[in-house]
Amino acid sequence: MKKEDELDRNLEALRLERAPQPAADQESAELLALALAVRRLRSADSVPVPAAPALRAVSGRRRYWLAAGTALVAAAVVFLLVIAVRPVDVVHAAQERLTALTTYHTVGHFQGFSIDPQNGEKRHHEWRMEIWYDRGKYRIQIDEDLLIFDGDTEWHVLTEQRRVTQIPGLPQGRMQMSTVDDLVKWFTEYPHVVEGEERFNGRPAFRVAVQLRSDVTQYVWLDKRSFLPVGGRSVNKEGEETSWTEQMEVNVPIDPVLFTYQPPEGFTVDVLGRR
Amino acid sequence: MSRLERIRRRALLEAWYQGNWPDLYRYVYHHVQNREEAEDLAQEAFSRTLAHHADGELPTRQYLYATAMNLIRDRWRRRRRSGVALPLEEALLGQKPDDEAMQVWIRELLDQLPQEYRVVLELRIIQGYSRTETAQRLDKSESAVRSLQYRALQLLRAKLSQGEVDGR
Repeated sequence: MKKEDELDRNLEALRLERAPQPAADQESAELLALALAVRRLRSADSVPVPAAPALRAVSGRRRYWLAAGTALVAAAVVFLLVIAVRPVDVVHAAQERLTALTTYHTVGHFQGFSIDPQNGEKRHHEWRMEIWYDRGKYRIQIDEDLLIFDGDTEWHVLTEQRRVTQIPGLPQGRMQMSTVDDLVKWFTEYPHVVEGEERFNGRPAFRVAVQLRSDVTQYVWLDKRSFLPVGGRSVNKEGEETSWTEQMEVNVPIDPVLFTYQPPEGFTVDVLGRR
Repeated sequence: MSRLERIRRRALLEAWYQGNWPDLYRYVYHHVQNREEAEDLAQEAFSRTLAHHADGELPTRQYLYATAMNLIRDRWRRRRRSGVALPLEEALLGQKPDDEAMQVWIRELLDQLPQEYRVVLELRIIQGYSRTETAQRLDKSESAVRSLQYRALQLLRAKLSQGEVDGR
């Protein structure tokens, strides 16, 4: 193949962001490298940045972090699934209900288990989470710590460490709690079955089992009359309870002050997302 | 460390990750000019950085970016082993730590090229037109564009080599 053709083929690969073919000789390799250097003259700002993917697990410690993170996010998802799941004509009924969803308040308890990478011992962790949500804004309290999104900025507050992380301009819904579309999507993507009727906290309810993941089953209780969710419980494949609901309210007034935050004096404030 | 410490710190770590992702992605993309590869490398850089960092401590940006750069170099070395020799690529990156200066230099050399060479590289590489589109815009045949872009890059390479000899 002529060198001109080889270069042209590799320029086309560069343009289409495909891997170039192996260079036939030194000159071809250098010309391709130079073409790449020239292409870098384009402004990086013109390149759309994809959403950050989930972090990969690469070590024992990382897996531990991710397990904890997964549990945290799952806590929010669990509640949303609770809202979404309905025993009859599920999708249609859920869509109707979700369209009317504006606020919620829930208190849940979560526990998890991890393997200590140092000695292989099983550790137990437990925490309480309270969520207030109002049309895209949210306040999540995990024991003494807080995550607050006021519609523009997210605040992460580590009370014991007296540290605050401020993330300006965070896209709404990063916690995947703000849009009805997401809820419907979750609902339609998880298999579920109505297992029967029983009393939950003294109220007649339907019990629904949702297969959240292959190793986690989420049980949801829906009030028999209103079909509003009244409770939830999740169990792992070992049969260990990983979460349970203490309180759940939907479409209730929430004090807007809960979505505001002012760092207390003496707290260190880190601002992320800025060069 | 309390039993809830890791949970709390995870929230901060997540914020750090989300906050640094766009800039690191752009940084890696700038070097590899391939979106899929940039996403892959940026993600790997975050993973490796976090895997080698003490619990509760946020890694520095310098460490993160150095990790990303090492991953890019590793990938180039693997390609070289698989037959894609890119010595100039490493030279462009490795011997010129001030990347911004390198950019300016390449731009200067580009501006020194004859106009039709400069334009063909501008259209074909920087603006990303296909050979057919470039030929239409220059009112030339595709064969002529093929030849023109080859000679333009050859001349640019010669100027770059001359600049290195001159101690630029």
